[in-house]
Amino acid sequence: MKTQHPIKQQARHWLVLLHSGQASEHQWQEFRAWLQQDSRHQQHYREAELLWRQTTYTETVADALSVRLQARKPRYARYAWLAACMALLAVLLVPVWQVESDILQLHTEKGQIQTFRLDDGSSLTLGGDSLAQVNLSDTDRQVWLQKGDAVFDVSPDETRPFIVTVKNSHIRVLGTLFDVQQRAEQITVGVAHGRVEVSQNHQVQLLTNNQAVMLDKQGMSAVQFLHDSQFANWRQQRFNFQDSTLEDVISVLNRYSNVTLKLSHPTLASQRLTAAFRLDQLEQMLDALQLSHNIHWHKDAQGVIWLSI
Amino acid sequence: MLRSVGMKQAFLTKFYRSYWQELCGLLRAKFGNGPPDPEDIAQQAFMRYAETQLTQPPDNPKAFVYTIARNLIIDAHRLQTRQEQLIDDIFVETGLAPLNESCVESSYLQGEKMLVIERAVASLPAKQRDLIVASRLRGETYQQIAARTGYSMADISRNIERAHSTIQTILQAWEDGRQQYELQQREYL
Repeated sequence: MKTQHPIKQQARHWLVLLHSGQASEHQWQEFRAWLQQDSRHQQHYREAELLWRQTTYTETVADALSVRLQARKPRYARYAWLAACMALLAVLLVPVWQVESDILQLHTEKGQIQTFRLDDGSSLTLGGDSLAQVNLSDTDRQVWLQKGDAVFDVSPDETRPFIVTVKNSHIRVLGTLFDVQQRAEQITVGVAHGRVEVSQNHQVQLLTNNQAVMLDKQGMSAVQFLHDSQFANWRQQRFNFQDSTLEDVISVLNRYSNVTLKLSHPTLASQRLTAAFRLDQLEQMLDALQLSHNIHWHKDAQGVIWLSI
Repeated sequence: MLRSVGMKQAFLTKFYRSYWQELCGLLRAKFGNGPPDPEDIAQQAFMRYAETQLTQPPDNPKAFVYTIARNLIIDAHRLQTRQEQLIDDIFVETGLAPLNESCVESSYLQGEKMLVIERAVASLPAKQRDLIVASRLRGETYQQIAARTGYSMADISRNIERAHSTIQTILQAWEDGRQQYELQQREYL
């Protein structure tokens, strides 16, 4: 057998000693001196040490960990039937239990935007005429966005995932700032920073900084990129509509605006338009609509804005 | 450039969708339900993979992402020992480049070298493999290992030394062989 390089061997002796947990203060000082003595000592010790650390990230260690973690399972299994009974009980008790639980109802009026702080340090900003239910438990943090739009600023807590449910889509996050906008036919999820997992049926998409997806009945769109100014711009009462139906546009405006818009003819509902404007420029937007789509508008005595052909 | 970025993105999205469920299933089967949550780990692994600047795509992207996820789980369960911290400190105090570059990162960037180490560790006698697990994963001192197993401290030291020596020898042989190979290649050209 090839004789080993002497410095390599010295480095290995030090490694075995230092990792024992039994090296004395004096030996640590000696090691420090040995290391400083010669650059080859440094090079060989570094090599030996990194190799030793690398052995941690191997299938051998993973298998041992697996055995250790699986050994915990039987204990749970013994109580699995109990858990199943509890789950059944929970389902049966839902209507009664919900009344007493800590589910928090948050809602905003038409034209109102409000930020709510939650007990876990997260905050939730609701757009106009929106409704959310919040349940913070020891195992997770759940929000059901029943109506409208919301921006979530989630405080990191790895032990309690933050899950937002909108219609049949789930948004799961660790700690992040993201926005959900709900329209008649479409939901938009946009992320300012952090990581968010959006799932609908069996489709899953991971979103990160300045990315967004749209969800509708057909499924999930490809990932789109957001400019900073586009993120949750409803908070500044700015709106972007891309190829949206007039019905959709009106329903959003009615939630944010103090005035009410109505369609004088149902066929107008399915007209499509693309527009970007601030709410205080609403009348200018309506004038533009007259030019581009030949849709007229007038205000009646009660202040209701009527759109007609 | 833009085209290749777009293609990479498209590939990642497709890859993510096709492998996500399988990876979560694999992690759950091997390491249970956590914590850390298998879904969170899978998510982090895909993120790391997307952020990794590789000169060429890995031959087997699935194995690559699985390795990242596995290493993240090992990291979540291992104990960093006081002595490891002291060694790190000495390198910094004496003005040397720090040692504590994340091994989670470096292990999968080294590609084939990582596989050689994997195989070398797997080829060790059971006793030496158990010592690696005790020291590296559980963070036990030799005294704690001795109390648990009944081995003498000298025996433990000797076996750890042998394990390290074997792995280093195998790795060296591989590196020499590769150099030889590269030399031959250069002579051909």
